[in-house]
Amino acid sequence: MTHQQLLIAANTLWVVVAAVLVMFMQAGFAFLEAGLTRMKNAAHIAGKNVLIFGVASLVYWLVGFGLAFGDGNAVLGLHGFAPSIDALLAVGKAPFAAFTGIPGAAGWLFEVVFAGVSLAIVWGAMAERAKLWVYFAFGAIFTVVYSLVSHWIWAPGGWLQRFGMQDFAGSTVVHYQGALAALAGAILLGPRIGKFGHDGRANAIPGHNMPYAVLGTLILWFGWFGFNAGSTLGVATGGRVGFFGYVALTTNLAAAAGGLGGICVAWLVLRKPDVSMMLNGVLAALVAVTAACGFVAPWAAVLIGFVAAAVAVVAVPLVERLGIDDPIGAVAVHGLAGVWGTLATGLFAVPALAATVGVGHGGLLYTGSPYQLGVQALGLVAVAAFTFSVSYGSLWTMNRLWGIRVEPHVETAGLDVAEHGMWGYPEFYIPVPGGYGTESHGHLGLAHSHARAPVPEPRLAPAADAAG
Amino acid sequence: MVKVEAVVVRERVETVIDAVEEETGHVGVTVVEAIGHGSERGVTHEYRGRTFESRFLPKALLTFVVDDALAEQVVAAIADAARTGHSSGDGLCWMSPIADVVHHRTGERLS
Repeated sequence: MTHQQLLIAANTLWVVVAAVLVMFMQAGFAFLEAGLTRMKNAAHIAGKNVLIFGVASLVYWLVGFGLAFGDGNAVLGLHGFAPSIDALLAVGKAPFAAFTGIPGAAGWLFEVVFAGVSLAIVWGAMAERAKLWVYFAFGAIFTVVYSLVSHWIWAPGGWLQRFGMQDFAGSTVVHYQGALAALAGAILLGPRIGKFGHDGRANAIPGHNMPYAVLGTLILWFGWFGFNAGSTLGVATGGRVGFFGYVALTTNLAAAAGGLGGICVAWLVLRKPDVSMMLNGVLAALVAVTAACGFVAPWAAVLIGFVAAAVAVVAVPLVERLGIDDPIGAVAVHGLAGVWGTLATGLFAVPALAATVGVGHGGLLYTGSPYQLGVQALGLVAVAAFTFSVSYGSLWTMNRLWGIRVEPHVETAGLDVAEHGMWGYPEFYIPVPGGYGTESHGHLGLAHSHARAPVPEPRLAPAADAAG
Repeated sequence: MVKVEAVVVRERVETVIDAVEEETGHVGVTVVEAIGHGSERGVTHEYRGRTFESRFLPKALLTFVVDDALAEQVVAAIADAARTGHSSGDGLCWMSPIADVVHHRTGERLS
């Protein structure tokens, strides 16, 4: 093999491994979201992550990848829809010339799992009350919206890419976009029954399994090494071999600072070191450092993570105060932390690292120029205007035509039994053959067929006992 | 004293207790999670394409120990608040006389 072929082999190996790590983040979302919601909806909420990854994958194959990374203009890609075998196997050729160091197929795999993550975020704020078909319909619409914005920021020639917007792995593209659609959905759905009292005060609706939420958070943290470090799309970046190791390091530092920041800020502000707020802190920090991870110094990653966690802890109750019911905290954790991370990159980007990555310039702190910060802010405003309005508009239309919220009796009974016919934990509600609380198997007709044990013979007292 | 017991659907538990409190002034209740069935003999669920007949449905058993004079009012309040408008499954309510009631903390006899 030539040197060039070896490089492509190493790049492809890393990118496919990273893509698989990111795919596993669906498991993280499944556990996080199921853990932070009620038992009666557990199967629905966990299962939705399989459903939406299926929707995202097929839509991304048909149109998304072409719109995002096919050769095109500043606004959208125009080639590479349902891509051919040749297009998927070629390296750095039309229609996927954007991927210079890996085959089109590896590029597709790495990008589709990002679309899946962004779509997973949407439903966190819509949990426990949306109709099942909405996942199919809005999942497809959102995947297209996501693909357009990722073209603007990530594809060579995208209009925000031309300005030099720095979003290394998608604080804006993936997390902020997901949160914008989540916000639109939460507003249109309205709060869950009982979330707000008659006086308008928010009630706590505790999640049903905090160890699930912890496991989900750790899986997301694990997957995030693929998410951020894999976004190098290769093993050498701007002449620095192994740059992805540095990206993984800043990612971990931010998450660590976020976990500690989350629990400490919760302790100070909410008066209790709430476990779920520690988890929100980790995730907010990871969201924020996602834009910054390739551009900033280690100390800045720590600062970005800590501030993101503080923002999330304070913002979760604030979102509630606006009357918005966001069961997982997606708006605060993915939205506001995404905004912070995108802006923080414009503040703390190191000029030498910006040159290595080859996007944008040094941040305000190093250059004294507000240019990069301004570009970051422009990107946030443009994405908010587009993604929020299209999400709100399409969900509003579906709501007017068919209604996107389940009936009150469905919500009260729980989506598991009402929408899917069976609870996630049936034995908590009803006897199951051989399950907790019954050994009778009554509904199988066995209730009366268990043989009765014979009455034991009266035992004679042994002689030894009588003797003492 | 009279013991009033009621089987109600679980989502009505607090509605019923609130109604008793508001309409009769009686405060105090014991709630037991229960399963059971009436004349409909349970309900049918679905699991992996098969029907799953559950003989039992989730209910709650509420026990109120009330003054003789309040008993009728309490029963009326419970029945009103437990009615869901569904065709079956709202549960029932009954009362029975009790011989003696001892208050643990004070040792006082309530009747």
